[in-house]
Amino acid sequence: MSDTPPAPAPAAPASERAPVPRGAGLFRLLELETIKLARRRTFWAGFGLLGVFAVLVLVGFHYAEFGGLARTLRRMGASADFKPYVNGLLYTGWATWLGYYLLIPLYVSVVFGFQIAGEAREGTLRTMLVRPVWRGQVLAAKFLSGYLYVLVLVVFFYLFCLALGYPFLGSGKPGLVAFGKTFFNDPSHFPWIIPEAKAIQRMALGCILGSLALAPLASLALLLSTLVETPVAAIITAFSAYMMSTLLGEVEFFVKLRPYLFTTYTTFWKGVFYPELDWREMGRSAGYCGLYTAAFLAAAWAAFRWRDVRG
Amino acid sequence: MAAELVLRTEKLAKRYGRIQAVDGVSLEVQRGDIFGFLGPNGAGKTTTIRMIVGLIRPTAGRVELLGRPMPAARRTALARVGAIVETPAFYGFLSGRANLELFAAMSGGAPRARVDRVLEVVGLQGRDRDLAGTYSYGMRQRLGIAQALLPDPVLILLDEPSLGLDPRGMKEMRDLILDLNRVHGITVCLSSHLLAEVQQVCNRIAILDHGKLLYQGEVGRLLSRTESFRVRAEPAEQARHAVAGFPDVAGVRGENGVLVVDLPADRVPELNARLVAGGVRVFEISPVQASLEEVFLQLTGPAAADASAHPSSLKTCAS
Ligand SMILES: Nc1ncnc2c1ncn2[C@@H]1O[C@H](COP(=O)(O)OP(=O)(O)O)[C@@H](O)[C@H]1O
Ligand SMILES: [Mg+2]
Repeated sequence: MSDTPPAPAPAAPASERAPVPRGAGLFRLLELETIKLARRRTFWAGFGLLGVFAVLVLVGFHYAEFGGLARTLRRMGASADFKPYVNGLLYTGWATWLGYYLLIPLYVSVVFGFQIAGEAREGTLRTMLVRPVWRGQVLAAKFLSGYLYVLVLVVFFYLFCLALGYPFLGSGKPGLVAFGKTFFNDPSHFPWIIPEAKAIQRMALGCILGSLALAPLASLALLLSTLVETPVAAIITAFSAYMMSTLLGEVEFFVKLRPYLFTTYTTFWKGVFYPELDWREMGRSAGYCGLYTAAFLAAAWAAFRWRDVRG
Repeated sequence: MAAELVLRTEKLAKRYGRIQAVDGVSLEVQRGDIFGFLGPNGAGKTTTIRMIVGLIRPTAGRVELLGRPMPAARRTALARVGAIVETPAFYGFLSGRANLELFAAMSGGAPRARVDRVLEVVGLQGRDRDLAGTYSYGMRQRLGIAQALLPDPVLILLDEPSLGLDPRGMKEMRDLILDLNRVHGITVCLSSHLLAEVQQVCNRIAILDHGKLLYQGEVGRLLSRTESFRVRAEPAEQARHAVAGFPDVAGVRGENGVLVVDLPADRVPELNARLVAGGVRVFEISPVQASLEEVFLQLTGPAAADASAHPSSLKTCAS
């Protein structure tokens, strides 16, 4: 190697270069984010975990005592035999109800909490952001791709439960015993058996509304993901916030707090299992969910826009 | 004629809490340069590069990239700039090629032939289907450069491109950088804490320490600022005596029977005459070019304490 510095080469004239390309737009970014998500192991772990959970609930259902259900049914004078009501539909309703309580929120926290902080940790965020893309669009793509994942996860969970429940517990005849607070608090409420075809429709609605109800948590996790440097911190904080809000909402003496807890409004989708759909009540809660989501997303955007990418 | 500036920073500064990571750095990189950004660890090189590409906001100062203000015009400016900041990071669960395609798509897409081409330029063809997570350090650096080359850049910024490479890898990296500059006409701006690397590939350098710019200009000019001469003469003791007594000599050091004398070049003939007149047999008087390392240590080392008292004397900006 010679010690003399090399003479700089004349740069190629601008005309020889291709025209300045435009960076990726929102749809392309969404596509790329979805590909990334689908290639990560976490993505598939979500399906695996929910599958295992569905099997456990099925086993539980098999050995469960349905004394309470039998008594209630008898009191209603519907049928002396409660067995046909412990069917694939009731199982699916219960399993998804439980899944939405803990596992699905956990997965939402993981996926959205990872979106920004995870890439910051891996260092790929800086590689991404030195490309000619808009940060706002990157954030939007990350939110939407995460949402797509949640939607697919929820649909999978419903279908998997139905596929397990029907062969093992019998088909949906004579229908789904409506549950939720109406069933326990007001057994006189009629009609309380949802016919099979209608119950399936209700579950499809449950997929959609249930996913919408996850938006506040998803956007909160994304906000935290833009604020902290490690994904674990974002995930744990988001999930803890969800748990605290849920638990406080269930404790009697914090009743005054309820209107301010976001989880008060995220359970409205369970209305699909009530005897009658209360569109007004569900719409009101969905509106609050939208407000929380908009606020969290706006905060996330403000934070991400100015964020120093140091990782 | 003023050369076209592809990168200009003006009194750039970044403060992290109590740490002033970068302090008033004004850089000028001209089209066609291989610009070396030299400084010890923690000098503020990465922080400066992050500000240049808009990853972090300066506390003060301005950046112009390809003539456009950053970060205001970051989308248009970055479309023609490739960069590696810190060690190149990729998705370990995707192949090298898939990573390139992904980042290319973010820049607006690259035809398959272009991806093939950059893989070839960095010498990764044949390994491009392997998961990036299985790549060695050197391969990741290469993939990083491939990624930086994808948008057909006018300028590439490389943060410590030979960090973690073995001597052979470093040589290949140097050759690659020279090739990118000479053959592909790309302006290169690289940071390094290795003097040898910078001395061997760069035509212009900036020296940074504790966030402050100590020197900016041509490498050759920096090196020739010190005027030292090797004097081989006999008898040695008599020669040393004569040299030490000579006016204008700033310093004399003995190195295995050879004297190294600091004095202005135009005084060399007189020194020679004095030695000969004193009965000393002179075998050799030759200029010593200071290595960049010596200059660097002079600028940044403990001896720099008194030098920093006259900072203006250190900043010779080539114009
Ligand atoms: N995210 C950060 N938070 C606080 N201090 C930082 C951060 N990044 C860098 N620094 C500090 O800024 C200085 C310059 O760091 P850096 O730019 O990484 O140096 P270099 O790349 O030249 O080794 C160091 O003192 C470092 O500790
Ligand atoms: Mg660095």
